[in-house]
Amino acid sequence: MRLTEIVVKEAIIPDMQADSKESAIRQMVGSLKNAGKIKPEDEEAILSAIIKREELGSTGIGWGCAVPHTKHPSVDSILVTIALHKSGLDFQSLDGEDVFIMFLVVSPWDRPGDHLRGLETITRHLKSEDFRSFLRQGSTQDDVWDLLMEVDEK
Amino acid sequence: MDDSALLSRSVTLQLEQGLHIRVCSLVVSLVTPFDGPVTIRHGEKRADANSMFDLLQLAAGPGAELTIEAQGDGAEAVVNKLAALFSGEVEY
Repeated sequence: MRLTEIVVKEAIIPDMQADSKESAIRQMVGSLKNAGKIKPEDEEAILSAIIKREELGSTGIGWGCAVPHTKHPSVDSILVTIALHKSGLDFQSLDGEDVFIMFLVVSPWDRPGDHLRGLETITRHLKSEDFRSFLRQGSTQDDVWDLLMEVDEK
Repeated sequence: MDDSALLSRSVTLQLEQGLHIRVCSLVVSLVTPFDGPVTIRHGEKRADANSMFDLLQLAAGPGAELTIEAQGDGAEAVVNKLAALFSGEVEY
Protein backbone atom coordinates (compact mmCIF):
# COMPACT_ATOMS: atom_id res chain seq x y z
CA MET A 1 0.00 0.00 0.00
CA ARG A 2 1.32 3.46 -0.92
CA LEU A 3 0.76 6.64 1.07
CA THR A 4 -0.36 8.53 -2.03
CA GLU A 5 -3.08 5.90 -2.57
CA ILE A 6 -4.68 6.54 0.80
CA VAL A 7 -3.87 10.15 1.75
CA VAL A 8 -6.27 12.82 0.45
CA LYS A 9 -4.00 15.64 -0.71
CA GLU A 10 -6.70 18.33 -0.55
CA ALA A 11 -7.40 17.42 3.08
CA ILE A 12 -3.82 17.82 4.34
CA ILE A 13 -3.49 20.54 7.01
CA PRO A 14 0.14 21.68 6.96
CA ASP A 15 -0.14 24.24 9.76
CA MET A 16 -2.79 23.16 12.21
CA GLN A 17 -3.63 25.67 14.91
CA ALA A 18 -5.69 23.43 17.20
CA ASP A 19 -5.26 23.81 20.96
CA SER A 20 -6.74 20.46 21.94
CA LYS A 21 -6.88 16.88 20.74
CA GLU A 22 -10.62 17.13 20.09
CA SER A 23 -10.26 20.32 18.11
CA ALA A 24 -7.48 18.75 16.01
CA ILE A 25 -9.60 15.71 15.23
CA ARG A 26 -12.59 17.94 14.40
CA GLN A 27 -10.51 19.96 11.94
CA MET A 28 -9.13 16.85 10.27
CA VAL A 29 -12.54 15.24 9.83
CA GLY A 30 -13.81 18.60 8.55
CA SER A 31 -11.01 18.73 6.01
CA LEU A 32 -12.02 15.31 4.65
CA LYS A 33 -15.59 16.57 4.35
CA ASN A 34 -14.47 19.79 2.65
CA ALA A 35 -12.42 17.70 0.22
CA GLY A 36 -15.63 15.86 -0.68
CA LYS A 37 -14.42 12.53 0.67
CA ILE A 38 -16.98 12.13 3.43
CA LYS A 39 -20.58 13.25 3.27
CA PRO A 40 -21.67 16.19 5.45
CA GLU A 41 -24.31 13.98 7.06
CA ASP A 42 -21.64 11.47 8.15
CA GLU A 43 -19.25 14.04 9.60
CA GLU A 44 -20.56 14.10 13.18
CA ALA A 45 -20.84 10.31 13.42
CA ILE A 46 -17.26 9.84 12.20
CA LEU A 47 -16.00 12.57 14.51
CA SER A 48 -17.72 11.15 17.55
CA ALA A 49 -16.50 7.61 16.76
CA ILE A 50 -12.89 8.82 16.58
CA ILE A 51 -13.19 10.75 19.84
CA LYS A 52 -14.84 7.76 21.52
CA ARG A 53 -11.99 5.59 20.33
CA GLU A 54 -9.48 8.04 21.85
CA GLU A 55 -11.26 7.71 25.19
CA LEU A 56 -10.37 4.01 25.20
CA GLY A 57 -6.70 4.89 24.91
CA SER A 58 -4.68 7.49 23.09
CA THR A 59 -3.56 6.82 19.54
CA GLY A 60 -0.52 8.98 20.23
CA ILE A 61 1.92 6.17 19.48
CA GLY A 62 5.13 7.99 20.31
CA TRP A 63 7.90 9.99 18.60
CA GLY A 64 5.53 12.93 18.22
CA CYS A 65 3.03 10.98 16.12
CA ALA A 66 -0.65 10.15 16.51
CA VAL A 67 -2.98 8.03 14.39
CA PRO A 68 -6.57 8.80 15.41
CA HIS A 69 -8.89 6.47 13.53
CA THR A 70 -12.23 4.76 13.14
CA LYS A 71 -14.07 2.46 10.81
CA HIS A 72 -17.24 3.68 9.16
CA PRO A 73 -19.70 2.02 6.76
CA SER A 74 -19.90 5.09 4.51
CA VAL A 75 -16.36 4.72 3.17
CA ASP A 76 -15.37 2.00 0.73
CA SER A 77 -11.64 2.55 0.81
CA ILE A 78 -9.22 3.90 3.41
CA LEU A 79 -9.22 7.69 3.72
CA VAL A 80 -6.30 9.41 5.40
CA THR A 81 -5.47 13.01 6.09
CA ILE A 82 -2.35 14.46 7.64
CA ALA A 83 -2.06 17.43 9.97
CA LEU A 84 1.14 19.05 11.19
CA HIS A 85 1.17 20.98 14.44
CA LYS A 86 4.26 23.15 14.59
CA SER A 87 4.37 23.80 18.33
CA GLY A 88 3.13 20.39 19.50
CA LEU A 89 -0.17 19.24 20.93
CA ASP A 90 -0.97 17.33 24.11
CA PHE A 91 -2.44 14.08 22.81
CA GLN A 92 -2.03 12.06 26.03
CA SER A 93 0.46 10.00 24.06
CA LEU A 94 1.81 6.69 25.28
CA ASP A 95 5.28 8.19 25.72
CA GLY A 96 3.95 11.40 27.31
CA GLU A 97 5.41 13.59 24.56
CA ASP A 98 3.55 16.22 22.54
CA VAL A 99 2.35 15.35 19.05
CA PHE A 100 3.50 17.18 15.93
CA ILE A 101 2.33 14.77 13.22
CA MET A 102 -1.19 13.34 12.95
CA PHE A 103 -2.46 10.81 10.44
CA LEU A 104 -6.24 10.50 10.74
CA VAL A 105 -7.59 7.27 9.26
CA VAL A 106 -11.18 6.35 8.32
CA SER A 107 -11.40 2.74 7.20
CA PRO A 108 -14.20 0.64 5.72
CA TRP A 109 -16.33 -1.07 8.33
CA ASP A 110 -15.83 -4.67 7.36
CA ARG A 111 -12.25 -4.96 6.15
CA PRO A 112 -9.90 -5.18 9.16
CA GLY A 113 -7.10 -6.36 6.87
CA ASP A 114 -7.19 -3.11 4.88
CA HIS A 115 -7.19 -1.08 8.07
CA LEU A 116 -4.16 -2.97 9.41
CA ARG A 117 -2.30 -2.59 6.12
CA GLY A 118 -3.03 1.14 6.20
CA LEU A 119 -1.62 1.41 9.71
CA GLU A 120 1.36 -0.70 8.66
CA THR A 121 2.09 1.63 5.75
CA ILE A 122 1.79 4.78 7.85
CA THR A 123 3.91 3.51 10.76
CA ARG A 124 6.56 2.05 8.44
CA HIS A 125 7.26 5.57 7.24
CA LEU A 126 6.76 7.29 10.59
CA LYS A 127 9.38 4.99 12.06
CA SER A 128 11.96 6.80 9.95
CA GLU A 129 13.44 9.80 11.74
CA ASP A 130 14.25 11.39 8.38
CA PHE A 131 10.63 11.07 7.24
CA ARG A 132 9.31 12.60 10.46
CA SER A 133 11.81 15.41 10.28
CA PHE A 134 11.10 16.28 6.63
CA LEU A 135 7.36 15.98 7.20
CA ARG A 136 7.46 18.43 10.10
CA GLN A 137 9.21 20.94 7.86
CA GLY A 138 6.38 20.84 5.32
CA SER A 139 4.50 24.11 5.09
CA THR A 140 2.14 23.49 2.17
CA GLN A 141 0.02 20.62 0.89
CA ASP A 142 2.41 20.38 -2.06
CA ASP A 143 5.43 20.04 0.26
CA VAL A 144 3.79 17.17 2.10
CA TRP A 145 2.56 15.52 -1.08
CA ASP A 146 5.98 15.71 -2.72
CA LEU A 147 7.49 13.97 0.31
CA LEU A 148 4.83 11.25 0.20
CA MET A 149 5.52 10.65 -3.48
CA GLU A 150 9.23 10.49 -2.79
CA VAL A 151 8.96 7.90 -0.03
CA ASP A 152 6.42 5.87 -2.02
CA GLU A 153 9.04 5.47 -4.75
CA LYS A 154 11.60 3.99 -2.35
CA MET B 1 14.70 -22.74 35.08
CA ASP B 2 17.65 -21.34 33.17
CA ASP B 3 17.00 -17.60 32.80
CA SER B 4 18.94 -17.47 29.55
CA ALA B 5 16.68 -20.00 27.79
CA LEU B 6 14.58 -18.60 24.98
CA LEU B 7 10.93 -19.35 25.58
CA SER B 8 8.82 -19.60 22.46
CA ARG B 9 5.12 -20.20 21.93
CA SER B 10 2.94 -20.11 18.83
CA VAL B 11 -0.59 -18.83 19.05
CA THR B 12 -3.39 -18.10 16.61
CA LEU B 13 -4.60 -14.51 16.82
CA GLN B 14 -8.24 -14.74 17.85
CA LEU B 15 -8.99 -11.02 17.92
CA GLU B 16 -11.69 -9.88 15.52
CA GLN B 17 -9.86 -6.70 14.55
CA GLY B 18 -6.39 -8.23 14.51
CA LEU B 19 -3.35 -6.63 16.09
CA HIS B 20 -4.68 -3.07 16.04
CA ILE B 21 -3.38 -0.04 17.90
CA ARG B 22 -5.15 -0.65 21.20
CA VAL B 23 -3.93 -4.24 21.40
CA CYS B 24 -0.41 -3.14 20.47
CA SER B 25 -0.42 -0.57 23.27
CA LEU B 26 -1.54 -3.31 25.67
CA VAL B 27 1.32 -5.51 24.48
CA VAL B 28 3.77 -2.69 25.15
CA SER B 29 2.34 -2.11 28.64
CA LEU B 30 2.52 -5.84 29.42
CA VAL B 31 6.14 -6.22 28.38
CA THR B 32 7.48 -2.88 29.68
CA PRO B 33 8.04 -4.11 33.26
CA PHE B 34 9.91 -7.13 31.89
CA ASP B 35 13.67 -6.70 31.49
CA GLY B 36 14.42 -9.32 28.87
CA PRO B 37 13.83 -9.18 25.12
CA VAL B 38 10.33 -10.04 23.85
CA THR B 39 9.74 -10.60 20.16
CA ILE B 40 6.54 -11.29 18.22
CA ARG B 41 6.97 -13.01 14.88
CA HIS B 42 4.40 -13.11 12.07
CA GLY B 43 5.72 -15.01 9.08
CA GLU B 44 8.94 -13.33 8.03
CA LYS B 45 8.26 -10.23 10.09
CA ARG B 46 9.64 -9.72 13.60
CA ALA B 47 8.62 -7.05 16.07
CA ASP B 48 10.21 -5.88 19.28
CA ALA B 49 7.21 -6.11 21.60
CA ASN B 50 8.30 -2.87 23.30
CA SER B 51 7.81 -0.91 20.08
CA MET B 52 4.38 0.26 18.92
CA PHE B 53 5.87 0.98 15.51
CA ASP B 54 7.32 -2.53 15.18
CA LEU B 55 4.11 -4.20 16.35
CA LEU B 56 1.91 -2.25 13.93
CA GLN B 57 4.15 -3.28 11.09
CA LEU B 58 3.26 -6.93 11.67
CA ALA B 59 -0.17 -6.07 10.16
CA ALA B 60 -1.45 -9.27 11.78
CA GLY B 61 -5.11 -9.87 11.01
CA PRO B 62 -7.55 -12.25 12.69
CA GLY B 63 -6.37 -15.84 12.35
CA ALA B 64 -2.71 -14.88 11.96
CA GLU B 65 -0.20 -17.35 13.37
CA LEU B 66 2.04 -15.50 15.77
CA THR B 67 5.10 -16.69 17.65
CA ILE B 68 5.94 -15.09 20.97
CA GLU B 69 9.56 -15.28 22.12
CA ALA B 70 10.88 -14.08 25.46
CA GLN B 71 14.08 -14.55 27.38
CA GLY B 72 15.06 -13.81 30.95
CA ASP B 73 13.64 -13.80 34.43
CA GLY B 74 9.85 -13.93 34.24
CA ALA B 75 9.76 -14.88 30.57
CA GLU B 76 7.17 -17.58 31.14
CA ALA B 77 4.75 -15.16 32.78
CA VAL B 78 5.08 -12.61 29.99
CA VAL B 79 4.60 -15.28 27.31
CA ASN B 80 1.51 -16.56 29.14
CA LYS B 81 0.01 -13.07 29.35
CA LEU B 82 0.61 -12.32 25.67
CA ALA B 83 -0.71 -15.73 24.61
CA ALA B 84 -3.88 -15.16 26.64
CA LEU B 85 -4.31 -11.70 25.08
CA PHE B 86 -3.82 -12.94 21.51
CA SER B 87 -6.10 -15.94 22.10
CA GLY B 88 -8.93 -13.65 23.13
CA GLU B 89 -9.01 -15.08 26.64
CA VAL B 90 -8.77 -11.71 28.36
CA GLU B 91 -11.01 -8.67 28.23
CA TYR B 92 -9.31 -5.46 27.17
